[in-house]
Amino acid sequence: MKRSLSKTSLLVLTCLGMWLSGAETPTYGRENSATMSIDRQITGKVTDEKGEPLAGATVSIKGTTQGSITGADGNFTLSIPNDQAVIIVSYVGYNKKEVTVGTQTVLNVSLAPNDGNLQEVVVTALGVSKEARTVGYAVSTINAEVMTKARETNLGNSLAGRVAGLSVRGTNGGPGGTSKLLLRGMPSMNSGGAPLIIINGVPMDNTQRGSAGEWGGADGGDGLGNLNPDDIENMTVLKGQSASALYGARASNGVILVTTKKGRKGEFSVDYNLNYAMDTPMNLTDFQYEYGQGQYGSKPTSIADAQQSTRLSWGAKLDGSMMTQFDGNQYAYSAQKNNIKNFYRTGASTTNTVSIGQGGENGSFRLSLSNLDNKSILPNSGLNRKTINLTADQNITKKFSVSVMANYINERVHNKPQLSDGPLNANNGMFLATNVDERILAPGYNPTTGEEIVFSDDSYVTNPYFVTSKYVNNVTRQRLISMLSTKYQFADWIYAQARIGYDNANDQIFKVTPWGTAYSIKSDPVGQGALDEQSVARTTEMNIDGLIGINKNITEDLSFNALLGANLRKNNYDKQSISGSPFVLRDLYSWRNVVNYNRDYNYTASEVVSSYYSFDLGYKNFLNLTTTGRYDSFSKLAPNAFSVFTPSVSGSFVFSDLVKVNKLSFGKLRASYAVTSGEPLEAYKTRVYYSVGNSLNGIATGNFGTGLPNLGLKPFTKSELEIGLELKFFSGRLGLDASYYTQKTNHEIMNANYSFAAGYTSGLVATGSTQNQGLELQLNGTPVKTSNFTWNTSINLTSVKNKILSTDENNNPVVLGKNRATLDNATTAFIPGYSGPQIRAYDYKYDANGQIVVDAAGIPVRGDLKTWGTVLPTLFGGWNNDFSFHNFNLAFLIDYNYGNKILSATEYATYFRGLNKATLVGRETGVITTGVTADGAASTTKTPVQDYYRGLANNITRTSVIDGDFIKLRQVTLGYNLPAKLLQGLPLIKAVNVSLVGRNLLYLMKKAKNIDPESSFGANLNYYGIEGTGLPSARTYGVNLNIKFK
Amino acid sequence: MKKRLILLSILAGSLQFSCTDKFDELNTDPNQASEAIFNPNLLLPSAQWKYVESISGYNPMLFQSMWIQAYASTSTGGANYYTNGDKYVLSNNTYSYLDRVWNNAYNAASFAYEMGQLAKRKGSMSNLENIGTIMQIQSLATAADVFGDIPYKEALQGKTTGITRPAYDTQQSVYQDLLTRLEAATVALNTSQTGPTNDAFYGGDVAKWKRYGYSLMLKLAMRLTKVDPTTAKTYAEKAAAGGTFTSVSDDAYLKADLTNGYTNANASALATAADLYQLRWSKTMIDYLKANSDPRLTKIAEVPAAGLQANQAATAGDSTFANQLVCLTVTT
Repeated sequence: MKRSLSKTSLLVLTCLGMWLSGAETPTYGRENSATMSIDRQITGKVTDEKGEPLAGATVSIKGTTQGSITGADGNFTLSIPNDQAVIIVSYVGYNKKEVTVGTQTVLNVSLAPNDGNLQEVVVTALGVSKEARTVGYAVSTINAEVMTKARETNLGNSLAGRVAGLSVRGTNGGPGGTSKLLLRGMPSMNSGGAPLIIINGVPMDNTQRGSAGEWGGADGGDGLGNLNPDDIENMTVLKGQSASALYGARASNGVILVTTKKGRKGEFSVDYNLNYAMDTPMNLTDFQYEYGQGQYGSKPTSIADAQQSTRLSWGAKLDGSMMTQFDGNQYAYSAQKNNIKNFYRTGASTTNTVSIGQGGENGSFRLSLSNLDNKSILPNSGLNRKTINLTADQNITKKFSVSVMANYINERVHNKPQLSDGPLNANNGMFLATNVDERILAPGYNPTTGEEIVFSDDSYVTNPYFVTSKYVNNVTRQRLISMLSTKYQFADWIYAQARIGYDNANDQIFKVTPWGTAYSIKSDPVGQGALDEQSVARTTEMNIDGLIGINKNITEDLSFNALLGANLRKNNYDKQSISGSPFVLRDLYSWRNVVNYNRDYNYTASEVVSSYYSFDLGYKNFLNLTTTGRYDSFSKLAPNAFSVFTPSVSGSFVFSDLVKVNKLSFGKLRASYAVTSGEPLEAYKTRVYYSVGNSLNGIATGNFGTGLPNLGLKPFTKSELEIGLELKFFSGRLGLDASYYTQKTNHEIMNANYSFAAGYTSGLVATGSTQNQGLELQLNGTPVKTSNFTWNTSINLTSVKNKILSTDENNNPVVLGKNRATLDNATTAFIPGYSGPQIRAYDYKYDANGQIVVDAAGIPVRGDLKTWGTVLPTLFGGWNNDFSFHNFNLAFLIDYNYGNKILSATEYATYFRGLNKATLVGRETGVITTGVTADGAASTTKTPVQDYYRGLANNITRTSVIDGDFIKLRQVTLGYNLPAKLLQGLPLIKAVNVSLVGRNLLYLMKKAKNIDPESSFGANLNYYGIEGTGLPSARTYGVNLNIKFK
Repeated sequence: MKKRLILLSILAGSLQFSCTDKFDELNTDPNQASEAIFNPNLLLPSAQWKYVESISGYNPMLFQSMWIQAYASTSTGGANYYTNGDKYVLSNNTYSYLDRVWNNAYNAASFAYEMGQLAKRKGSMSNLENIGTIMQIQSLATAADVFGDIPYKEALQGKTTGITRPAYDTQQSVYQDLLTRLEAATVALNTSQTGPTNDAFYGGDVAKWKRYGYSLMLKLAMRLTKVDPTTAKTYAEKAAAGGTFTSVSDDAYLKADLTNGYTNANASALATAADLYQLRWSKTMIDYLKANSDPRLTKIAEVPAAGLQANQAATAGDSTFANQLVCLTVTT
């Protein structure tokens, strides 16, 4: 196995090597000898329309990668190969200018401001830069600045509200949590939904590493969250299938291109950035505080009574009298509203980043070191992340250039919290009775024995203080994302590029059910606690790419670009783990100290070999047509059917070049169609495996899997038609970008169950299909622009409709996730004909006249299982504003979210435990339901309030389904640049910026009463929109200080 | 330049082919046994155990015993586990137990089928291959005995033919075809060649397997005595000629192994004290035995002493032939 791997990689390297070494063969020299000549230097100055120097303008030689950047005085120096050389001068916001050098030695160029950034360049698939005006599909770019001042530990969450078509949701999982990104609805049923992340041209692993489910668990985090925001220059979102088609089978969820910062051209620079942020836990509950602990209207009268009811608020009216609590002490029977504030803490995050960089004519580099120290709002939990990032480019010869990137990440999560309804979750204090001060549960264990103090009727509900002082769940990751790229410019119209990217992540997990954990105390064998997991895992992805680029004008009006390339990708994963229980000796958390232990080893390897092309044809720069195709071959698929071809075609028409409309400075229509595909999910599924079973009286036995292997199914395909319109008015002061798309997957692979009569009990069928249709609008404007005051504003809107067209052969609903409170009585599911994931829950039972039917006890009877809406928003977006006034800058972002529902375990618990304000109705009198009994007579039964609301929550599970709509003040930053005058006297400092920042500040509107509508414990699509017992949401305040040194 | 482009395209193209020819090898799990490594003999005890599971313990007892009216349920008080199967009334668990018989029988057949296929492809294992066929026939015959028409001709071949919803065949045609195949497999057993190495029935004794094959043939022939007497007679005679069981030492049986998870389901079912008063031999059964003066009646039936306690205990009662009672439950 190993040998064949290295053989194939050798072959690929040889292939690539030949591309490069071929450049030195004599043939090439002969062909080009006529155009060879000796370089000479020219100098010049670039100015704007008023004659002011433009610093940082790009001066490059057409058809090459060579170029220079103007200094602060607008001057540049450049070596040119010959007099025929054409110089391209460009500067953001100005029209690009081409000048033929001729015999001049000094070249002064004046640029005119353009009409609304017509020359804007966007990065497209494979890192190819294109003029935005020629692109036939929607692309959005976000500059990192908006993500670094007010930051999120996971970079992905910073994208919320910024990109039309991108829905972003974090997890209430504490440090190192996942950011759930979905582009254009729900991309498909089984691919997880997360877009492909490309960093500087090479794919990086973004695997989600485990989610909490209905029985508890922790959010294992994702790959994107490892990146340090300070190292990011910008992120480009390729939303549609045409944009991402060149990524073939990885394109179907969309693609996000991350570009890291590079050394700025000019002098050596040192930057220091300090970011300090405080997370303060929010109390978003609106509980009743009229009635206290107890049952059936009575205050507990004994220790045992109290123990039974610490999490039940069905007692008497809170009157401030004394009561005996479960711990035997006396406490006032009065409201305790500050449990969240008292138990959690203000989390502090400090990020220090230093970077040095320089750029010259022939190369640039940037090196940064960063340290993030995060303390979670949950005591004794936090994250430390150290990153080193190096990027460098160098022109070795005039034709040969090299660039490298190395991004090293060392991330340690200390005590990753348990979520949802499982033991060792510290967040269960939320449901304490209204009069219980959570602090009385401290310290949570008996100091002598180390054993947990159980505070309620349920030993599986761990004492929160026991968790914060004893629980161990340390997750560490060392990761190196590296890239080496070489480029050879054969001639001004053709180049070849070879690139190798390698992403290597090493993960360690150490997870312990501590000694003393109540439910784990065993008598046979004697012991306590468990070593849940001690593991090491390695995930690697290697990509080797080779491509040839051709840019040639066929005639003066007709341009032609071509890209031909090949890619070899290798993914490997292996994990060794050990676990065991119970511990024999106290406080030695080692496998040597357990009675029984298990070990496990997992290994998978896979390869994908691909080749691709892209052809662009342009007419007079206003009509462009692009077609791409990619052919992927997968080792994961059956040998007779391992290839997938994914084509795309897109076109753009800049009609404003032909028809002049008053005030319209730019107008473009675009249209595209693409067919992409999903990736085959698991390796080793193309054959049956055999195993050795337990011996039967000494006779060895064997077994084989009852799942039918995949003998010919390919990944699903996805087709998308997209049309778009871009308009710019008033010299670019007002801009509109609109896209409409309709996309559909075909032959999604679904699980099927068979009768054993087939010889196998399960298998795969390619019968699934999902549809998304949507509208994306982005409106940009500059309402005010004077010499010292500018107001930029942008609004984006996404409207998306998802529909599951079919699931398995019988169109059975596919159940996804649930919570522990309502289990199978309320789930999310893919249901044909409905948008997915759809919440299904039980309604009331109604009689023929529409009356609610109640049972003999007066409790509403469970009716039909019905659908109540999707967990994904159908209308969302953001409104961003940016004000600049002299040296001040104020920006804020408001985002909004409509159309989704939440399956809330909190809602259930507040009904079940008497915390919900709705449970105040009938406290003194009992509840008589307006309804009928089974025989049709009006119900007169008076139900005790506790029985009624518990019965209601259990029977009518739709009561746990709540509305997810909200409008949120997501981010505010107020920045101040110290005036240059102030700094003039200082020896080292060039520029200083101080910003006050705030994030996740305020809900301007929310329909959910007791929870944060964005909260969820699940880190994957299965548990999307399911909420309960996660960490409280936090509001973040902070300060960002940026100093640039001379 | 053109030459270079052509060369590059060829290289890019060759990458596709040269890098993909090892895909199948790469996509083979190195931590699991694939066909090349596996020894098919290991599947024989698994097929034997599954077959035994399909005919032992509660799986057949709870419902088959009721349907044929060997037992009748008392269905009083809390004693409702046997429900009213003898009166053809379904309970919640009926389908679950039916499924178990079906699944165990087909699981056994699937083990046997796969074992036969592997033995055939690997070669030099003709006895194992034929024993695979006999075990498969044994298991499918059980399924046909219980369910009547069953998926047969298209069954078990999900992997080879891709048929995941095999069609049903008539019970008669199933028995007929089973007999044909059984004859071929049994005749082909060769005592001078290597026997199975992991045989939980006979320790690899091929001669005993031959007798097992002919005994099974006789049993299956008896299934056709009413609908197809000619075939029944033919095969009964063939079985007799071939040589059926001659003594108890020919019995095929399997010992449970509790420590390794092979629980004796019969013991579990028979040792459940609550069953003692939850069911009785049925009127149909007792009447039949009495009418035929069957001496086995005194071995299987007894009348307990009066009172609930005696009815729930496993103490010996009155097993006199004439004193045996029919269940008091009225059958309608």
